[in-house]
Amino acid sequence: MTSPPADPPAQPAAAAAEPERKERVKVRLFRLRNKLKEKAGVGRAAPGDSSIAVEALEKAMAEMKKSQEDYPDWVRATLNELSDDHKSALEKEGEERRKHFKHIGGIAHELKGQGGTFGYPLISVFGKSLNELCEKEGGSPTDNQLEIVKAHIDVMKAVIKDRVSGDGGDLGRELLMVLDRAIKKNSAPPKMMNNPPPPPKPKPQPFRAPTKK
Amino acid sequence: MANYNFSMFNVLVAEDNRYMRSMLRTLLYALGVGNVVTAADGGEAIELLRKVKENPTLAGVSSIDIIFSNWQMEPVDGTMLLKWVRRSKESPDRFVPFIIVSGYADFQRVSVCRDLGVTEFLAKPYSVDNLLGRMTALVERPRQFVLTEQYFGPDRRRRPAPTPIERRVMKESEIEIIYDEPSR
Repeated sequence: MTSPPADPPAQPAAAAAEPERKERVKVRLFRLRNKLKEKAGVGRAAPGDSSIAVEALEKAMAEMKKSQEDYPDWVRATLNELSDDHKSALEKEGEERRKHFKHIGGIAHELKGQGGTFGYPLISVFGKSLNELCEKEGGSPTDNQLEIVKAHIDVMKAVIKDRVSGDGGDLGRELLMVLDRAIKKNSAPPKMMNNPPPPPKPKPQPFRAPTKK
Repeated sequence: MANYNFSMFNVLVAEDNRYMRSMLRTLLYALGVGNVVTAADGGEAIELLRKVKENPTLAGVSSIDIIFSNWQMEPVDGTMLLKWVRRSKESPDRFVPFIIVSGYADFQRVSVCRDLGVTEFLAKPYSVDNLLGRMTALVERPRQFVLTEQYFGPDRRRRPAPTPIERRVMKESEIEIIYDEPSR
């Protein structure tokens, strides 16, 4: 383990007790031996003159591909967790509902990172959109916002059910449109009535002469 | 051209999602890393690093050469782990290369990590090439560490570039350069 040549966080205080020159030092630069390069067995190679073995790279690519094939199977449990959270949020109000909403946002953030890594970029797109919805400042989410949450879960489940990898082609575009429509429908402001009733007139107040005390 | 041999590397992966954790571990082994230890959150990683310092035999690893950490974890997230590694007296190596792996890749959040002393940032989703790119950056382009009253970590300027206002201390008398033992 590398033992620091000095004690960085404690050093400014220690420096104050040292001789005059140290008092003037404002910046310390640590130029350390490149131990990683030595450990990697390329200590003497010029920069850029080393690379990874082709076999190792191919092995890593193969492992990534295998993970991508397994992804739909294990992500289903995560999507079911989202559905459970959504259901619980619908049954609750106020702070309890908000807690489930935040939890949904956390899972969506994870899905955003996973999807593209495992070859399902649409999961990343939908996860990002859901995460942004849940991270918006505000009080308890409305039923309409929970409808938008449900729409996100539905399209993600469709991606996994039909193994829509890559951009998903026509089906991918359709899913994007389905989500877009659900967001628009549930984000619309409440409709105004055609002939709203006039505001009530203020009641006339009876005149009262000031009383003498 | 020489090939990297990562078999002597000990890597710590802190990631709360077990699938992502398992995949990163598998990829690192496939790239030839000799030993990968894992933690399910920042707190578990800190416990492991404490053990490495106090009793490497018990920890099952003599040193950690690289840390990969997810950002969003509970109860101790990646930035808290990074802060501990760089600042705590209990940290076994405050200079250890630290890579944050996160879906938060916007400038503001990357800046937060940068100012806490992160070495590299790996944005999710990532590919094998992205992962290998960060590994080789650590090996080929290590940066000097800077200690000021406000900051400790790798030099935040990766290359000399003109800045409109130079805020750096430039007087030689105010700068101390510390070298460790020379390369063999």
